[in-house]
Formats: sequence, C-alpha cells, structure tokens
Amino acid sequence: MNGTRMAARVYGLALRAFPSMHRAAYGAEMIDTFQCELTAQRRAHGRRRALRFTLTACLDAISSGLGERRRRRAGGVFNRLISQCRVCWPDIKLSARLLFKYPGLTLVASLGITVAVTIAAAFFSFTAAIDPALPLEEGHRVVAVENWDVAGNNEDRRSLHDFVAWRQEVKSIADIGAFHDVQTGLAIAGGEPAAIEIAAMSASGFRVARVAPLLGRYLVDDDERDGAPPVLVIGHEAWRSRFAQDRSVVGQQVRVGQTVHTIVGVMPERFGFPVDHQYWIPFRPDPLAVPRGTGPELFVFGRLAPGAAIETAQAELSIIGRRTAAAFPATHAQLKPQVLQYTRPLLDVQEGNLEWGLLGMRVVMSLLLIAVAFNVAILVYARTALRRGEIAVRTALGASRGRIVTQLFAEALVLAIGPALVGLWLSQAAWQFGNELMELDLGMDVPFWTDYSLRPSTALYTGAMVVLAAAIIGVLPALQATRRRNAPGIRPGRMWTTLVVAQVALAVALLPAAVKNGLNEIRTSLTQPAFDPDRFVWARITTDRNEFGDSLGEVMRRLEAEADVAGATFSSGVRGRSGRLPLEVEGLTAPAQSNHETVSVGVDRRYFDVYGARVGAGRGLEAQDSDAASRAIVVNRSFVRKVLGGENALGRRVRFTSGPWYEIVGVVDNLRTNPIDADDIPANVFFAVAPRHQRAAGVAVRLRADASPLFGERLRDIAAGVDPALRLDDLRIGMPSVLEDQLAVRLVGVALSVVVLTVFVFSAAGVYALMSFTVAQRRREIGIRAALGASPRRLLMVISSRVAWQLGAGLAAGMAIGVAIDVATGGAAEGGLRAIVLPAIALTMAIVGGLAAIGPARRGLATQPTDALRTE
Amino acid sequence: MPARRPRDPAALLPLKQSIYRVLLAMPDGEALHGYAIMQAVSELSEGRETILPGTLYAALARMVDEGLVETQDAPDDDASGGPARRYYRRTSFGRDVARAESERLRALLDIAVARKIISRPRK
Repeated sequence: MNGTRMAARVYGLALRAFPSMHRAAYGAEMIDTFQCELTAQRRAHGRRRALRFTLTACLDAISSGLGERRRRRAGGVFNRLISQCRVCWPDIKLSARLLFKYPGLTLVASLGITVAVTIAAAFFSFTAAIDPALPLEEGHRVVAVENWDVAGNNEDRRSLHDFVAWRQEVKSIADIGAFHDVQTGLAIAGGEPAAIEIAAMSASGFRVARVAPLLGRYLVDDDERDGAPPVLVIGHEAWRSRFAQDRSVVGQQVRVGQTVHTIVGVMPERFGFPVDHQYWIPFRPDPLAVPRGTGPELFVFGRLAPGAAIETAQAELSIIGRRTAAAFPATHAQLKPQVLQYTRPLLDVQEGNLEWGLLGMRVVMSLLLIAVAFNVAILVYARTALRRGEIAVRTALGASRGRIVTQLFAEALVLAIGPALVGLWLSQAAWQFGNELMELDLGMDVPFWTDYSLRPSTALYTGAMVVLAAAIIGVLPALQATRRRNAPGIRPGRMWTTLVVAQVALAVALLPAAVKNGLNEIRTSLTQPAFDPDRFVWARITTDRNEFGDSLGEVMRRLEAEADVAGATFSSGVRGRSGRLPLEVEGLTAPAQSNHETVSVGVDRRYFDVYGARVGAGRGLEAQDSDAASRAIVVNRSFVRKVLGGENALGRRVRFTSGPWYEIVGVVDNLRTNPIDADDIPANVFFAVAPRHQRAAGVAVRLRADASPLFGERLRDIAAGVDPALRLDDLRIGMPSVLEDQLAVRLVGVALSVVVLTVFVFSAAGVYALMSFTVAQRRREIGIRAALGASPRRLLMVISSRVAWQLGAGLAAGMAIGVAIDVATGGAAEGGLRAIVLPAIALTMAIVGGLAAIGPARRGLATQPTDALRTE
Repeated sequence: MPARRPRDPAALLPLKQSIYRVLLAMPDGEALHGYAIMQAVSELSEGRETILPGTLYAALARMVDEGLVETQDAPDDDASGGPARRYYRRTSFGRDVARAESERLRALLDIAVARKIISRPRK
C-alpha cells in the first residue's frame, strides 16, 4: 500500500469525529480533497512536509468534526423547537388583553377551572394530610402495636395483659406505652367542673414524642407506680383557655373527677400526642384486676429501636404472638399482633387498601380537571378558528408553527393560572372551614399531625395540573388550527365533534343524579329531631368486662331515681340484627332493602316513652319482648310508608337475612321529622334488648325542665359508683346531629354535584361556541344564499343543522347512558322516575342548547350579503 | 401557510473566519469543487494561509444549511477522473452575508484607525 493510500486511510479514521450524517454526505469528497492536497504537498515540498500535512489535517478533521457534532446538537430539532417556543413577555401581554376581549369565554373557563382546581387541590391536600409522617423528631419511626382478630377481621384493643408483656419482652420497639381516653370533669379553684377528655397515658409517651415541656415537666415512670401522688400535665390550649397562661400554674391543684391532682407541667403549642389531647394523667395498668382479654380499650405505641425496622419488629411480635396463643388459646388463638405506622390504626383502614384508595382518589380528581380542560379547549378552539386571519398574518411575518403554538399555549396558561390560584386558595379555605366545623362545631377530634397549611406538594401538584390543562386548552386547538391542510379555512374535525357530543351526553346522563343528590342534601339538612334535644344528655357506655351483667340495668335504675331525670333509656347493637340490613317482608316479592334504607336497632322498653314517640298502632315494646324467644318488633311510620306502601303493618312478618321471622306488634311515630316531607327519614325497625348481655350501649337521659346543665357529671358519677369497669364516652347534650352523619361521604357528593352542574354550563357554552364558529365559517355562504333569496327559515336551517345534529346525538347518547346507570343502580340514580326524569333533563338541555344558539343564529340571519362577500 | 419573508443577512453575523474566507474566495456565478475552493482560499493570502479539508467541509456543510452556498453536480467537462465531485456555488444570500460581514469588519477597522491602533491603508 503506497503512502498516499495509507495516509487516506488514517485520514478516514480521523473523519469519524464527524457525525455520521456528515460523513455520509461529505466523507468521500473530504478524502479526495485530502489526497489531492497531500499529493501536491509531496510534489512541492517532499515527503516530510506531506507527513506534517497529514498530521495537521487529521488533527483538523478531529477538531472540526467535534465542532460539527456540537453544532448539529445545538441546531437540532429539539433545540430549535425550544428556542422557537420560548414564551415571551409580549405573549403574556397579548394573552391578558384577550381575557377582556372575550369575556364570555374567560368567565366560563374561569368558573370551570376554579371549580376543578378547588376540588382537585382539596382532595390532594386531604390525601396528603390523611397519612403523613408524624411531625415529631424521626416521626416515621413511631409505630402502633395492636392485636388483630383474624376471625372477626377487626382489631382487638382489649390488650392490657399483652401490653404489659410487650413492654417487658419486645426489644425492637423502645418506650412501649399505651393510652386510653377518660372523659371526666375538671374543676379549678373550687369552681364548677367542666367536661374534658383526658389521656391516661404511659410516661413513655412523652419520651416517644421527644417534645420538651414549656413549663415544669411531663409524666415520668414514677408517676405510674401505686401510691404516687396524682399529677396532671396540661396542653398549651388548655393553659391558654382555662388558666389564662398563668406561668405559676405548675404546682396548682385541680379536681379531676373526684380526685385532686397537681399540675406538674405545661406542654408547648401544637403538642397533642397521642391524638389531640390537652390533658394527661398517668396510666397505671393493673393486669391482675381484670381477666385476660378484657379491660379498657388501649392504643399501644412505641418508637422503633435504633437499627430496627417495622419488619424486624413485626417478626419479633409474631413470635411472641404465637407463644401467647399457645399459652392462652381461649383468648388468643385468633389474635395476631401487628406493627403499623402510628397513624394507620386511627384511620381505621387496612394497610393495602389505604394506598390504593389514596391513589385512586388522586387519579379521579386529576381526571376531573383534565375533563374540564377539554371542555374549555372546545371553547378555545372555536375562538382560535375565528382568529385564522391573525394567525395567517403572524405566519407571513415569519412565525413558525411552533411559535404560534407557543403563543396559544401562553394564552391558555394566562387563562388558567388566575382561576387556578383562586381554586387553590378556596381549597385551603375549605380545608380550614372543614377543620373548624369538625373541631369547634361538631366537637370531633382533629389529630395533632393534621396540617392545614398549603403544602409544597399541593402547590406543585396544582402547578403541574395547570400546565397540563393549559397544554390541552391551548396546544391542541393550536395544532388543529395550524395544520397545513387547514388552508384556506379551519373546520372542526371529528375529535371536536365527538367532544361536543360527549359533553352534552355527560351532562344529560349525570345531571339527574347530581340534582337528586343536591336535593337530598337540602332535604337532609332540614331534618330535625321530633323532640327537644336540649333536654337530653347522651353518652356511649362500655364495660371493661365481657358484658354489662347487672351494671347497666343498675345505672338505669339509679338514673330513674334522680330528681332531675324525667326518663332514661338505652339503645344497643346486636350482631346480625342491627344497622342497615337487607330485610325480607313476608308477602313482598322483592327484598325491601333494594329501594329503601332500613335501619334496625335494639332498644330498651322505655325507649319510646323517653323520646316522647307516640305509638300510633298496636303497642310498644314490653319487658318480655327482650327475652331470647321473643319475636316482637316495632316499626316507625317511615317503614310503613316506604316498605309496606302504607298498608297495615300489624301482624306482618319480617326477617333479617335468613334468620327467624319477627312480627310487627306496633307502629311508632318517627323520631325525626322533615318540613319538606315528614316521612322522608329512614325506615326503622326496633326490637327489645336486655342490658345484661350487651357490652356497649348508647344511653339517653331526658332531663326535667329545671335540671342542672351539668347533669353529665352526675351520670359519670353514677356509672363509676355502680361499676368502676364502666366507661363513658362521647358525653354530650342532645343527639348526634344529622350533619355529622357520613360527613365526608356527603361532602364528596356535594362536590360531584357541583362538578356536574359545571359540566352542564360547559355544555351550553360549547353549543354557543360551535354555533358562533359555524356562523363565522359560513358567513360567505350565508351571504350568497341571502343574496340569492333564501328565506330566513332556510338560512336558519343552514346555520343550525350541524349543531342541531350534534346536540341531538348528545341528548340521545346521554339518555341511553342515563338509562344504563339507572338500571345498574337498581333505580337509585333516578329515584325510580326514569321515564320522567331523563326526558325532562334532555328537554331542558335541548332548550338550553337552543337558547345558547339564538345569539349566533341571529347574527347569522343579520348578515348582509355585501358585507359577507367584502370580508372575504 | 403563506411564503416566508427572506432572511436578514445580519442574523448570521458575526461569521466564522473560515466561512468568511470561503465566501470571499468563491467567485460570482461560478461553481467550484471542494479542492478548488481550498486553493482559492489559499490564493487570497498568497499562500500564507490555507484551509484544511476538515475545516473547509465543516464550513461548507454549515453554509449549505444556512443557504449561503448551493450544491450542484459536476459539469460535463469535469475530467478529474476520481469520484463524482460536488460543486458549490455562492448564492446571492451568501453574497449579501459576505457584504454584511465586510461592512461589520470595516466598521471595526475604522474604529482601530480612529484610535490609532493602525494607520489607514493607502488607497
């Protein structure tokens, strides 16, 4: 091989520094040029000079090749796109002007985006707050320990003996402690006692929390020993509200229940461990006092030992659990101890279900915002189509397609960002409102770890959703409008037609359910008790033993003997017969539960007398009805109306699932009433229960008119005097309000109703937008037809034909979907009035669509032929 | 979409030296192959400065992309005997860009003269 060819080969290797595309286009030329110059150099200057030329040419090829690679990367499609698509300040200014130029679109879009962002951000905040790490030092290492009853598929918190054993044996969890709630009265400086909730907690709880007291000290292990002086630690809110932030409160003595306690410390602000507590007394477990498997319901916690993980602790507790089950099969054969993140047991959900539930909630709410974005995109598309002249001018001035799309994306972003910020603020306000509602108005505990401030994750999520929405609202219509095959005009494609039809169909299909849900909410909010709730004291009573035995009956007897008491009763659940149950009525072909709510409850024989419910037919419950062999039940008027259709109830027989038949012996007035529909409350079935074999009950005490407002304390004293194992919870004046009932579920229902109504508004706006678009597109045609003498009726048909068939297709599809939903829900969606509700909604939608089309249609009819032709 | 407005030559300034030299070396209306351009660039400086093939073809590739030169097949009278050569012709846009760069350099030269860094060249 001669020198030239060798050099050419070497040079060819150096050319590999160039990109492959360059080598393919110019490689052969470059080698040829190199060879020519190499030959010239050798002839003119000799071999040495040629060699030097070869070397410099190779180095030059490598250097240039690398430079060419950099140039091609910098000028690549992606980078060119990025440089063309930068949003400029003029884009922002133009976008802001367009908000005012198209006020209708701005208003409708802002409404929809605000609603969607409010709901999505609120639910995102909720899902983020529902299961956070505790806001404590290394809060993720604080765990809960509980026994899981595999047979009953439920937790078993009567674990006093297990707690003592775990505290001694478990090595992977440090500072194992427990707490239970005590509801009692707090009297300060000889004043009247005020009802409070105290955490009887192990001193280790404060070590687990790792929060230093603000004043004095917290509980220590010595406080738990028998004979230790009674001490109390108070929280910051209690210190502020009851002690006026007196810094000399440490050492002050107060009366807690019947015992004088000394305040030893004040905890700092926002400290509420274990849940939302402001008072703490030592928990003194005494396993010798109660049999295994009984005792108070405890919540056990601890902090993972250094180096231990939840899995390690679980493995250790599983071994201990098997050993305990083998030693005590009667009580522990079905119990398995489990270690969980601290907040999980308090959420009362299964481990795996929580993650999927939260993810599902976030996905659904995100889809909501995307659906709204598509609705807005329809309106923006119609507006974009009307701006085709402006787009053509911009293109002629040198704007690329990417530049125009970027501009429209900026317009969509400006359109969306304002309502998104409003929605974000509203979501936080709603969250705060909900917190005050639960805590202050309903007296529900809000855990201390619940943080209502705006989280960075919520802001980031909202920002990402807004950008996505802006991309849908701005980019999709822009891509459609700048397609080459659009010239000279823009026509709505199949996608947009489908979206309009789908939008109308969705509104028709879901509106009946939304309206029904909304009316139900209004109706429910007007439900009132048919008695004076202020004259009642209500509490939940439980026993540490397996059953009440004679204790509850004795409490009832002592209450009846009180001078302030006009009557006392209780209600209780019985497994298999209480709650919302399927009910079979003899003589009825379909199960009664399919269409009506039927709530069954076990009650004391004095129940109706105490609540003042009149027995309108037959008789009430009597003492012998609580015998196990008795089959007598009493129903309320709603049951007669809803389940029996108003027929005579006396002597009718009913049964729960496949159990024995019960006979209706009486009909009693409803305990609640509604001014809209007096009988629109759940159908109730009452059966008599004896207190002896129950373990938990709801006690209701009707007071005389001049009774002391602090009778709750007396009730507590009576219960404690009968049996120390009795515990009172949820002590309050009056019945639980209707508002509390399934509050979260009902809030979701309200939110969905608002969303559906928004879809309804969007449907009307979509029809209006498409009509406007049609008129603008066919302006020349309309002008020509008018010039040729077409009648206004004929012109109207031309203008509205396309929109009319889209509206008709949407209505038909919506009715079909609505029927399917109603059939699938057994008539629940339409309340059994499918034949009336759906056509009415469809007719309403048609009227609304027609009204929305009037404006653009009139504009079309007013088109002057000369103006239309001149414009083109 | 309507036709685009012609590009502004100033948008490409300042030119890389290699591109400028190639634009200066290429005659009006005449197409040259790569080696001929290489020799023409050398003749601009009377042999004192040359352009190597790597630099030349990197510049030519960029010039083709920017529309400063256009390519054409070898004429019928090309008797090189080697592989088919591609010829390059300077476009009118390339001439405009070369003019714009020259004006820019002249302005710089005037500043250098005004500041007595160099004396004005004799005409």
